Amino acid sequence: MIKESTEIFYGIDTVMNTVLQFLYHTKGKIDACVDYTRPSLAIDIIILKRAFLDARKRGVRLRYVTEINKDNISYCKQLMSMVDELRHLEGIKGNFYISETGYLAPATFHEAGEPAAQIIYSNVKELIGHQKYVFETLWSKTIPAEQRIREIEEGVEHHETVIIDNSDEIIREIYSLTATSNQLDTCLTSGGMQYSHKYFFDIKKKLLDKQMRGEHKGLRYITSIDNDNLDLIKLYLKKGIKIRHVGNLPPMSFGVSDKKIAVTIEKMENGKVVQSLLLSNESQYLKHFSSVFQRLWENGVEATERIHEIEEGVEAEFYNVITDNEKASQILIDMTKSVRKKALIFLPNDKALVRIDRLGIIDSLLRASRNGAEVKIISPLSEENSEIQRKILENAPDIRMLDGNISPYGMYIIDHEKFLRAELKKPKADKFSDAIGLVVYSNRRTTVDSFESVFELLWNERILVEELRKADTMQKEFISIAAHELKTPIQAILGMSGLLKYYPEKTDQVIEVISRNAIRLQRLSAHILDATRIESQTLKLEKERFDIRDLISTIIEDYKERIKDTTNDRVELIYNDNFNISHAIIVEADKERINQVISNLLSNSIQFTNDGHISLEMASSDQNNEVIVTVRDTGKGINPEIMPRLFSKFVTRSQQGTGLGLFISKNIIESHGGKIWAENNVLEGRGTIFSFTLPLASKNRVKEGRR
Amino acid sequence: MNEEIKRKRILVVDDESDLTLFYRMSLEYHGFEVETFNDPRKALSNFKTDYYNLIILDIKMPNMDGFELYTEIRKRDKKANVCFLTASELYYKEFRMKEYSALDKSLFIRKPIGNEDMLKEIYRLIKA
Repeated sequence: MIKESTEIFYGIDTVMNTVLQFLYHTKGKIDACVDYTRPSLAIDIIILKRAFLDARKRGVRLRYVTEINKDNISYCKQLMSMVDELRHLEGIKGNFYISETGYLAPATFHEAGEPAAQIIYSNVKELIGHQKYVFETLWSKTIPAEQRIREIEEGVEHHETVIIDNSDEIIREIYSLTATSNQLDTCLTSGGMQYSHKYFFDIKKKLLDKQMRGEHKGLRYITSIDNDNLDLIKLYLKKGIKIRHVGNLPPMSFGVSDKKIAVTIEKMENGKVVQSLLLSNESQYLKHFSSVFQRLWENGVEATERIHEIEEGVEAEFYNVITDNEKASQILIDMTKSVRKKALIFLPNDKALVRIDRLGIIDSLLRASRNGAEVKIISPLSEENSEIQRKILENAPDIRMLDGNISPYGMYIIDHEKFLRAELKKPKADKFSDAIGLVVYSNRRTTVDSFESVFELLWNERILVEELRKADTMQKEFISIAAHELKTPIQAILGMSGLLKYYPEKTDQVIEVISRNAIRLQRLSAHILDATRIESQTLKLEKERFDIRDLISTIIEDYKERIKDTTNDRVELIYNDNFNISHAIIVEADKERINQVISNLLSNSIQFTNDGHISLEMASSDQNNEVIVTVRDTGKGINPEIMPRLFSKFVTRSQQGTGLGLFISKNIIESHGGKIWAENNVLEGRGTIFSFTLPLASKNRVKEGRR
Repeated sequence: MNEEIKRKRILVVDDESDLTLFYRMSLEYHGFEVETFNDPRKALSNFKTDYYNLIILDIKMPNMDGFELYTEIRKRDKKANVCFLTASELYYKEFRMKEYSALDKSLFIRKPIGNEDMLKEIYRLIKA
């Protein structure tokens, strides 16, 4: 039994001797795997060549694998007659020889074309077994020397990367790539899929036949499966092609075989011919694209599963980064066309509104709003987009729109389902597709939800800003009106009191003016004080139980006098109620405040009525447990424009008013649990009707009150 | 009293009758010839070109505000010496910001103003 050992021999001569010994003493077979520099040594070093020839003569079966290239092609041709089988493998770096009994390998790196200075020899069975396995693995990846030599001699460029533009040539190259493949992985857009089907389906069928015979490792496809290509995908599946769905495809299509890659440099869209094709057989490219494909494949969804989803109407979750701006425009158009419940639009600048209007998106939103969908838009508002603002306001008043700040992106959230976010790259561009940069499009629940809440936050912030702005305007208006109102009587008092000394004979007249303006000042300051109390919610009611008929009678008497003074009998004041004289209408209220309200209504009527009549009516409804007081006049009526804001602060029909009277009245009535409203007197063709209600005091208490 | 000033004519338009009464009493006492109107439209229909030495307008008035009245007066009398006696702060600012920004700030007299101060302003404006 030979002792098993592994040894290292040093020195060029020793190494050479070891190799020669190995060749001369081996029986059975020798497998050699060597780099591209070795064939020249086997031919040029005579003793080595003799040893090879001797082994062959002894009937040793020689298998030899190396990298055959332009430089060693002539040696390889000679070598072909010296060994049983010579095959080619790209990029071999190490050298080793293996027989049934021994393993031989140079132990150091060596200069090209020089024999090694150290060599390992081993007869350890396990090591030999292992190395045999390594050899077989490599062997399986080789191609015959004849084929490789032919390729080189026929000028088939290897290790080359080219770009071709000619569409016929592109078809030829893809065909050749497909035809020569032992394995083919392809990643295509939906359009690319159709192109591929059109030109290469026949050759694929042949490959599938080869696969059936075990001569091809199969075809794999990655694409985005949607309704448009469903039938094609089904056909391919039926033919035995493996397909997976990836929603977010890389921007280019590519095919990678065991030999070559082809990458589209421009798009394959709608079955149109690609613009140019990058072809390469560089191993780095092959490796890269194989690994890209593999990664996509692992993340892909089985086509059958995806088809099921589409057919069941379940849309798979996607989060797509879209670099094709035209495609992004189309997605946005489709998204907004499909709005059913809710559309939240956040625009980056004033021009964005104009851009999306050009895409028909505003029209889609108008339609959606009219069909009951909730539409909210935050957009910087300016002259630039004023026409579109008007269009929205006129055609879909339910669309809510708030002024926003300039932002680096726009956001579109539709029906809690879809979300699109587009970077703004060129703020001034006219076209949407020119303006945008990177676009993210997703239906992922978490994404949509979180951006919806971002939108709502922005919305609330905008509302707050708007309210502050409004409050600011109101405050300015208040100051302006209050200033004017205060200054006018002050001017009269100040001026007139200065005149007293000039006009001693007219003192009474001057003092009357001063007194009138002092009263006006007093009334005004009371109004301002009341309004301030209402605003700060500190208006206090001193409630008591009283008969409102008594109060009204008193007021009527008072006003009959006043009306004589101001209108010279051209206006008649009428009081009407249908109650028995003894019937008491008991309310629990602040008597002074109710007096204030009725007086305010009557004063207004007197101010705006030049002739005719002012009537005060009262009715009680036990059913509603309330009393209704109505003041009717034949005055100039209320401009319909200010009608909806009549009870707001600072809304006034006259130059004299503070715009606070009705605001205060409304708050007084409402804090008593009543209502107040106004209408123009349509029946009589002129004048206004003001009405308010007050709850009646509870019956039990009434009895108690009477006792 | 300066004889020249005595003959000066002043037009005052203010919707507050108490105030026009005051202007009239004050200015007449100091020798001016005074015309007053509470309705700006009436002031316009009675307007006499190249007649007044000074025109005093309130700004916040019904039917036609002081600025509109000013524009109409300018159409009828290019040289008219017009000033504003007003209590309206905002109107004043807005007005100055818009088409009448060329109007000098000194043409605006703020209410309330005392008798003596008002006269000083009026003498100043008539001389200018």
